[in-house]
Amino acid sequence: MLEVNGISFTYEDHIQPTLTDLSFQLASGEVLCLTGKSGCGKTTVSRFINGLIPELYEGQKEGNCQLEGTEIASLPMYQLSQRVGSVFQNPKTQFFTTDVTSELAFPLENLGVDRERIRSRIAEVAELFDISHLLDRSMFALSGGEKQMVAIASSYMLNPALLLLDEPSSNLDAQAVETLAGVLGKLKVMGLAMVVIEHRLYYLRDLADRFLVMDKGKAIQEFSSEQMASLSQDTRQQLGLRALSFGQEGEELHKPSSSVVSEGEHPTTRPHQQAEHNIGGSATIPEMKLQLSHLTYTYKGGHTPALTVEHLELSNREVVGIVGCNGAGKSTFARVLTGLLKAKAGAVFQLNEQTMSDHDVTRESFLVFQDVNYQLFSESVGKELLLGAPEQAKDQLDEVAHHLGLTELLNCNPNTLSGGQKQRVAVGCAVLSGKRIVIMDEPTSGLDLMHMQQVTQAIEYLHRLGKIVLVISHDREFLLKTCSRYVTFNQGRVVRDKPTLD
Amino acid sequence: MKQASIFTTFFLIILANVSLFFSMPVWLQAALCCFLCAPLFLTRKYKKGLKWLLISAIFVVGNACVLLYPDNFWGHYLLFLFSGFGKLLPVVIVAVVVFSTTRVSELVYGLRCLHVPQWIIIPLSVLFRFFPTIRYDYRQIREAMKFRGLAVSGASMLLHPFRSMELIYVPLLNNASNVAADLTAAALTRGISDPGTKSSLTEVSIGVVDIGMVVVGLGLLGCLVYA
Repeated sequence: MLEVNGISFTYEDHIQPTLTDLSFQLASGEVLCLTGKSGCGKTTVSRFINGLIPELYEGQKEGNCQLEGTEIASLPMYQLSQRVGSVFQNPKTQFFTTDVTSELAFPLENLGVDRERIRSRIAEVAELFDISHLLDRSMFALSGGEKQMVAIASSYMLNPALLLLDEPSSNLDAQAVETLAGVLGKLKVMGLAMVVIEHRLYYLRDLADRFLVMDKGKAIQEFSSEQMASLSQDTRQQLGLRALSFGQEGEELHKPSSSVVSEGEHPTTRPHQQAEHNIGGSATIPEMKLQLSHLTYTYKGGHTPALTVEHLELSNREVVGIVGCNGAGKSTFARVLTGLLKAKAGAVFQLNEQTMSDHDVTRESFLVFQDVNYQLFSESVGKELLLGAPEQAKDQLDEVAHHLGLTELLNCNPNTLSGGQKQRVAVGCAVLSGKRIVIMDEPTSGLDLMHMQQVTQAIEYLHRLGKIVLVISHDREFLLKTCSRYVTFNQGRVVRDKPTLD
Repeated sequence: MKQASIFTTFFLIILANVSLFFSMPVWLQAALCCFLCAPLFLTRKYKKGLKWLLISAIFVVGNACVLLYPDNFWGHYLLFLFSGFGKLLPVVIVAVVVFSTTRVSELVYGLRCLHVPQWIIIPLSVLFRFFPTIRYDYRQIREAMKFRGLAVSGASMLLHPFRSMELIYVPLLNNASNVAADLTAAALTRGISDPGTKSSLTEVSIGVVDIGMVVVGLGLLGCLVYA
């Protein structure tokens, strides 16, 4: 039903082509997973198919796409939108109205469908996606997973023949990804053809019929789902692909990863070797301990506390993973721990036995946001790194930039960097402003294997510098690579605290 | 009780704006502000309603005491504050009412009924979509600034207003432009560019509340003109 014939594309302000001579076909009811490193041109392919090229993105294009025998380029955007549904990466920015019902009605209203039919279609689709309970709710009150579900439902309202999903899981937690996989499975059974662009492959294992691996705008490999499952570790890593199952991560643990972060004066310590390392005692950096007692926090209008931590001791000897499902209190913990939220009176923060006030806590800590864009204020990376840092930080700038692989980017505008690079800039800011506690909130959402490894290395660097490092994440593959202790939250309490993840 | 329809909201907007062109006696200002706060109570936003009634009360009292202010800097300042800003108060209240009681779908429907062109309707609806986003973004940015030790307290923000503004604007605008690009793509792939007649799920019926509001509103307008 979909035929992509030798498409090439060069964006207007680029010299290098983003796509070169890419071809593939898709039958009705088939699911194709398009994967490959960041910047390999996956998203551009989807823009070709849903008509955003040339409607929104201009440039030089060659080749053609046929949808059920019709040339896509010959259809006006609004006609194409009835045949091809699109779901984008960020659940926060792809809804156009402010409540769920209007969002579902939106595509039908645009086409002038009458009220009764809109109403019955909404009921039908809401049932199918199991979001009936969300109707009429404000979009802003939904979780990321719920928003994404509404986005898919909305793109399905016109009953398209093909659904394009561009990294739909990148901002979702494990549970939401499972729900997503369930819904996509249902749609597949109903005969909908899908193109799923993804880095996270594990949830597509049983869903995708074929995997097309891209690199530098070309298709380099095509695998059936069986071939993909039996792919060797080395081949997979060479292709820059993330794990297809959790078992695969486990095996990988003891493999050194390629390094962008060069060796420092301190011995490079892989976090998973940390336990052994500690027994011997590390002499290079003095131990630092953060003791937290009686932390309670209740949100305005909440009846039960969102966070209750009686006692927790954190140390710079380990990288701590903060895990638990959505709404378990992980983010609240991070905010209380960094002083953004003021804990109820009676809370005690002690860094190396010294009691700290709320202000001290904020001064000593740094939270790298999930959406790191909010943390970048300057016009160049160099200025960004020094913003708010003490005077003597200037001397360390080159060294820190070198360790985080930012040397060549010092003059770039932070807003033009990729997600992984921005994250490293934020880490650099934390280091240069002399913070002793660094917390990263979901640092790997939407990152490919290479960028994930770079985040891992940045965390190792922080660890070598003797910072207390905490990582909030749902990404098992990444957690297993970085952390040596896992603190699990549930309903605002620490329910598990072990050196292994489940 | 049933909420007032979008057309009544339009009427309130016009009424508040017309009031700018007339000078009002204090009692009329009080009555107008109370009247404009009514939709907040009708939609059960009692807290917000009371808050704006209270603000109105302060301005009305401030206005009533105009003759008591001393003839110095502070006196002039108070005069400016109460009569200057007091004049704008009805418009501000209407803005609050519009943003807290109107659904975008209703607004779009209402504007389409009035045959307002698409190029005005779409930006307006996006504007509504943007306000909550900006509030969220602002909070995030302020938190991020705290970690850098930049304008940690409200006081230091007032001390360095331009510096603070720059720091807040850069990420705010960067983010807004990203959101705008994503929204455009989402809207296009959902058929917004269809040139045909659009339909709407929203039904607007004119009820007793609307008639009551319009009658009272017209009464106030009459007082405005002849008072």
